[in-house]
Amino acid sequence: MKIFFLCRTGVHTSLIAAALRLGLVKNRGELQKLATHPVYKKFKFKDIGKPFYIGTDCLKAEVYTVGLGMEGQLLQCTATELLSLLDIPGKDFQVIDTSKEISRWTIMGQFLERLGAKPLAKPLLKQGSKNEYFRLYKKIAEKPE
Amino acid sequence: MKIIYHCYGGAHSSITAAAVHLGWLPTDRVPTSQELKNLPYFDRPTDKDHGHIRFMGQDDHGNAIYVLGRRNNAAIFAKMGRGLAELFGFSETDLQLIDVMPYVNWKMVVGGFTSRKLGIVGLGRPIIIAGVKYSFWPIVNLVHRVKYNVVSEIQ
Repeated sequence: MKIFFLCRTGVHTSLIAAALRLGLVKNRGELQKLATHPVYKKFKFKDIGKPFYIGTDCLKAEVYTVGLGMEGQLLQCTATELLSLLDIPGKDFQVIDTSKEISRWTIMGQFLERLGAKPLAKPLLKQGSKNEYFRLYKKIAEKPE
Repeated sequence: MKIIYHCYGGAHSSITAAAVHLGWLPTDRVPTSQELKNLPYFDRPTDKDHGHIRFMGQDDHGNAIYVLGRRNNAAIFAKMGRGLAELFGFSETDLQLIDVMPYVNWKMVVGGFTSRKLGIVGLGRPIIIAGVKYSFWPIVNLVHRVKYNVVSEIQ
């Protein structure tokens, strides 16, 4: 079983969701840990689209994040159809779109990060991740195991 | 093998390429307007069809041919498609993603916008057909390269 968390970049909203699923962050205060996650540190905007392996959960499901840019819904549909036409049974994968839970702070932070203004982007992304935490927590909790 | 021809809307260039691949269009002359109009899905998909992979047919070697309209997400789609295929143990010989967008000319852009976006089919379609005829040989060339690579990989 592979679980794909989708967001715009694959290293912001979806990474928090994946970390929640894997138990990498226990509370909102621990979100800072994700800034040092190897996937986040190595990320470049040209990598958007590539699946990033985050870890394997207690049910032995592999957890990935995928960035789909601005048109996540369109590409989510494409990804699901692509997996179906490769004859991968629906029980072998799960696609969870987290782009609806994105915070405006994160959007602004991503924009600045893309422009190369990382010091300016950092506080915005930090605030954004805090705002997204509970929404994502609820979303992950709602998903069946 | 599964071959997906993709372009912005999945309505013109990718349909033409898939049709050439499947032998539905002649490759010794430029097709007539009627031959192009008769192609399934040619100048028919709308915005809501974007993102959906459509099956076109099977070629002589048993490869399944698909088309996709993925708007301006060519690079993201290519990385996502290859990445997902690799994760599930598929290689380049199982899935080929062919971007037909480099062969789209301004007539196809203007005609496609007029016909698909604005809905003025009577005005847009003749412009698209002129564009497809203009880009026909480069598209045939692309399809021949794809077929050559596919046959080489099978052997």
